[in-house]
Amino acid sequence: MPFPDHLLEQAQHLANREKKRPRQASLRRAVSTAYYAPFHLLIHEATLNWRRVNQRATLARFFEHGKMRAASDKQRAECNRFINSNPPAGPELDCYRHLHSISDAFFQAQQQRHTADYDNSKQWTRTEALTQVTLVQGAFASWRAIRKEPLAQVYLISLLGNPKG
Amino acid sequence: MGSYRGMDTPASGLRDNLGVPMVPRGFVDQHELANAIRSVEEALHPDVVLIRYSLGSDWAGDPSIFFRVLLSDEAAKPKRLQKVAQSVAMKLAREVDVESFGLHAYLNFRSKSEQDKLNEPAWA
Repeated sequence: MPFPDHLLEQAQHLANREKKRPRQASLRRAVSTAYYAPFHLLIHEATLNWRRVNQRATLARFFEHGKMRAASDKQRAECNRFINSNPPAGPELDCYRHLHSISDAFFQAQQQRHTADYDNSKQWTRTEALTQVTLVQGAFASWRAIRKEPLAQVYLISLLGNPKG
Repeated sequence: MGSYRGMDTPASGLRDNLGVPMVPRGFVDQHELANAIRSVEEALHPDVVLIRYSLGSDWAGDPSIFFRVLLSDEAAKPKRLQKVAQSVAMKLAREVDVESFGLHAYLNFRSKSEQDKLNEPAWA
């Protein structure tokens, strides 16, 4: 099982710890880890396209949270436009739906991660943490369904930021 | 979190329109917003007990709306949570359409029994 899946598994474990009175530390780490799972999944998938295996870890360091957020926001808006244009049922619509699930989950999870890591005034509940974990689980399933589609591959490139010119 | 004038921020007495949240693409009509949210609440009853919201900025500084969705204990059970959360998100996106105001929407979900224990006014 690769690293991003381990992170997701860990997020679920943390969200379910302390059956009666979950600790804030467990819930906050669950929410934070639930973000890092798709963060590393998408970067891992993007770097798989780099033929020199020994350079992939270096390439991975070029991805930035803010640029990935902007790309995901743009992607989910594009997906929404397509889905709301009343297209016929079929593989293209399915692909857009999956891509929306992924980009939206990434966008949501990043904000939640920020709150979980830095806002001490926020009281988390198990349901809030589990919602984030299930959202990301759905995104993982969606990614597996479309990872080889051209649309998904374009999304991966966009995560690096806007091209010049 | 930044200070957009929304439900969580008392309006100043200086000018009438200070109570109207200003966002990049226009004004948020609080009545229209509240009505749209109420209709989502009603449509998703009994899974959804209530929906509250506040306006503010997300971590990147973008104007945002933060929904707090209180679920029945039945709807918050792990086997139903994902489906219920998805249907609430889709219904809010369709009926409230906050994106058209230039707002990002973020959702948090709690169960009724969790809120009963915490008793947070923002979720009541």
